[in-house]
Amino acid sequence: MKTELSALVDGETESHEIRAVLSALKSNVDLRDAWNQYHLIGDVLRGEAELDSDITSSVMQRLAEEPVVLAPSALRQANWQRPLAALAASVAGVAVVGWLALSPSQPREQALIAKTETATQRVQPMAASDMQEYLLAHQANVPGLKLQGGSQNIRTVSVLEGGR
Amino acid sequence: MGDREADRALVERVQAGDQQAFGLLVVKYQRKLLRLVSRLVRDPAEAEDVAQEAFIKAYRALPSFRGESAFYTWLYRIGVNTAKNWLIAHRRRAPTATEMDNMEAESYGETDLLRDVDTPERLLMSKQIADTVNLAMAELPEELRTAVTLREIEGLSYEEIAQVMDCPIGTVRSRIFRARESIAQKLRPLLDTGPDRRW
Amino acid sequence: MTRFFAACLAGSVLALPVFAEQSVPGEGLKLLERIATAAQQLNYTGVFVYQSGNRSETSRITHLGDGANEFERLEVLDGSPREIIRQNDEVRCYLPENHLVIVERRSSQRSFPSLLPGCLAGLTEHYAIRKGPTGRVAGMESQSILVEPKDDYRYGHQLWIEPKTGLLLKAVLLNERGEAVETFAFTEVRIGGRAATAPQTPNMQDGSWRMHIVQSSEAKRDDGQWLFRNSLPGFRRQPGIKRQMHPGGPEGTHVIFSDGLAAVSVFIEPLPAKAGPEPSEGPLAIGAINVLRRHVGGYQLVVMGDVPAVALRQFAEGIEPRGK
Repeated sequence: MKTELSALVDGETESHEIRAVLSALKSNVDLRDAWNQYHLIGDVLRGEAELDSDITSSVMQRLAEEPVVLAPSALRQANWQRPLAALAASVAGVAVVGWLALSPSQPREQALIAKTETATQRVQPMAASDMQEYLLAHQANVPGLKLQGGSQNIRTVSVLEGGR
Repeated sequence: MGDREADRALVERVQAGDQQAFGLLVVKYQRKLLRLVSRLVRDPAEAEDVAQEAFIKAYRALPSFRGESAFYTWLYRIGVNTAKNWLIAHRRRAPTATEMDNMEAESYGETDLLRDVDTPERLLMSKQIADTVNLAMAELPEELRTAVTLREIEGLSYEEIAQVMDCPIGTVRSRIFRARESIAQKLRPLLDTGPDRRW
Repeated sequence: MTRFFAACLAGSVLALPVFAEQSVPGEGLKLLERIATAAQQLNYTGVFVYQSGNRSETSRITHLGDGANEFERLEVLDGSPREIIRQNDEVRCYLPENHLVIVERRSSQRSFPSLLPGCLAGLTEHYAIRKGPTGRVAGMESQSILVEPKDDYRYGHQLWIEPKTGLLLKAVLLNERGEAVETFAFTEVRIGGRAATAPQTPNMQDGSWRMHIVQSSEAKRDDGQWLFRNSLPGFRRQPGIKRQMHPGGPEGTHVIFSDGLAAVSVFIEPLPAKAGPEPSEGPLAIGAINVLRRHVGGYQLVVMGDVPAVALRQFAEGIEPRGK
C-alpha cells in the first residue's frame, strides 16, 4: 500500500487505486506517518524551512470539537437545485442520515451542522424496531437480482438486538 | 490524475463527512502555509497559531469550496487573510504593502527567504532533518536519486520522468517509492511519532 | 490522468474503471445471474455471520428450492430468538419475545425472473463487474466477483461464489469510501442433498401470539399523486403497491425504484388526523439500509434503501405531492 501512497503524494495514483489508499490511510496510523514523512522529504528537498513544525495533531484536536462539514457539492446532479440541508455526522463508522431542516435563510456556505449529540436533541432518533414492517416489505418486494436469497432478511430482525 | 485531482479527492472526502481526510491535507500543506504566514507573523509560536487558525477556517469554509481553483490556492488565500486579521488584532496595524507583496509572491513559491527569528533549538532540529534527508539522498543508488530529484525538485510527472530515464512508468513509481522509504527510515528516529502526535 | 479528471468532473472520484482486459465482456453479468439462480434453486443449509458496524450475528439458513417452489428458514442463533420463514412469496417474521408474527405477502407477478431483462440491461452502465481473485471461504475454494459502482449513487459489492454451484458464500457491501458496510459470510455450508429437518414453524401454541398480516395489492399504474423530482441515475420505477403497514392503520402506497442490484422503497401514508405526538423523523441506518422519515403535507414518507446516505437523502428531498 505504501507504493500507492507514494504515488498519491505525487498525484499519480491510478484512479482505481485511490479509494483503497484513502481507506487504508483512514485506518492505518503507520501509513499516515509515512504520508507525513514523504511530504516532509519533498519539503526538505525543495528547501522549505519550517521542517520541525508539525501542527497536524493540534489542528486535528481542535477539529474534533468542530461540527462535521458536509458539502452540497458531494452531490452533483443537474436537477438537484435546493441546497442540502444538514446531514448528521457519522458515529462509529455507521452511516447515519439526518433529516434536519436548517432555517431557509441560512446560506448554503454555512450548511454546517451540529454534531450528532446536538442533532439528537433536536430530533428524536427513529427507533429501528419501528421499521420492521417497512424493512420486511422493502426486502420482500424489491426487484432485481436477489444474490443473497433470504439471508438479507437478517437485517429485519437484527435491529431488534441492536437497540439493547 | 495530477496533484490537483489528488487534493480534490481528499477534499471531497472531507466534504462527505470524513474529518480525518482533512488531516492529510494539513500534513501536506502545513509547512508551506507556515512559511507563508511567517512572512507576516514573525514569531514562530504565533505563526503556528495563525496557521492552525487558517486550517480551522479552511475546514469550516470547505462546504463552499467548489474546486474552481486548486485547493492550495484557496488555502493560501485563507492563510493570507488570517494572518492579516491577526496583525490588525495584535499589532493594531494593517500589513504594509511590502509585506503583502512578499506574501503574494510567496504564495506562488517565487521567493525563498529564511525566517530570521527562529530559535536556535528550532533551527537545529530543522537542520538535523535537512541533513538526514540530504545524507540519505546521497547514499541512494543513482537511479533512485535521479527519479526522486526529477519528481520533487524538478516537478516532473511520472510520464515525463519515464521518458527522461527511459524506463516504464511503473519503474518510475517504484523507484520514487523506494527512494522515499529509504530516506524515511533514516528520518523516523528523528521524528516524534508518539501517541500524542498521532491523530 | 485525463480519464481520472473526467471522472472527477462527473463527481465520481471514487468510482473505479472497468477492467476490460481482465474479463470477457458480459462474463461478470453472467456470473451474477448464476448467483441469483443458485440462490433460488439450490438446496443448501449452513451457518452464516452477518456483520454490520460493530455488531455481528450468527444465523442458520436452510434453503430448499426445486425451481418451482422455495422454502427458506432463517434462524438467528445469537441473542434473543428470532426467525424468518419464507415460502415462495410469503415471508413470516417470528419475534417470540414480542409474541408477534409479521406476515408479508409479495404479489406473485412481481417475483424476480420476469423483472430480470429490464434490470440487467442497465446494470453494466452503472457498475463495473469483473472477476476477482480466488480464495477460500467456509472451507471451500471460491471465485470472487467485484461489482464496482461507476458513480456515488450506489454501493459496491465483493462477492465470493462456490464455482461449481454458483452459491454465494460471502458478500461484502462497500460504501462510497470503500469501507465494508455489511458482510454476510458462511462459516459452514452444505450444498445439495435433502434438508436434514423437515420444514417446521416455531411453536406458537401458548395463544398469546399476535399475527400482523401486511395487506397489499397492486396499485394502479397511474396512481401518480407524488412527484419524484430527484431521480437516481439508473433507478427505474416499479409499479406501486397499495398496502396497510399497521393493523387498523390507513392504506398507504409503496413505490420501489431499482437499478437491478440496489433498491429504494418509498412508503407514503396519510398521517392520523388527530394530533398525537408526531413520529420522529430520523436518523437511522440498519446495516446497509439507510432510512429517512419525513412529513409532507399531512403524509408520512418513509424512504429506505441500500444506497449511500447522501444519495438517499438527495432522492428523498425531491419527493413532493403533485400539484403543489
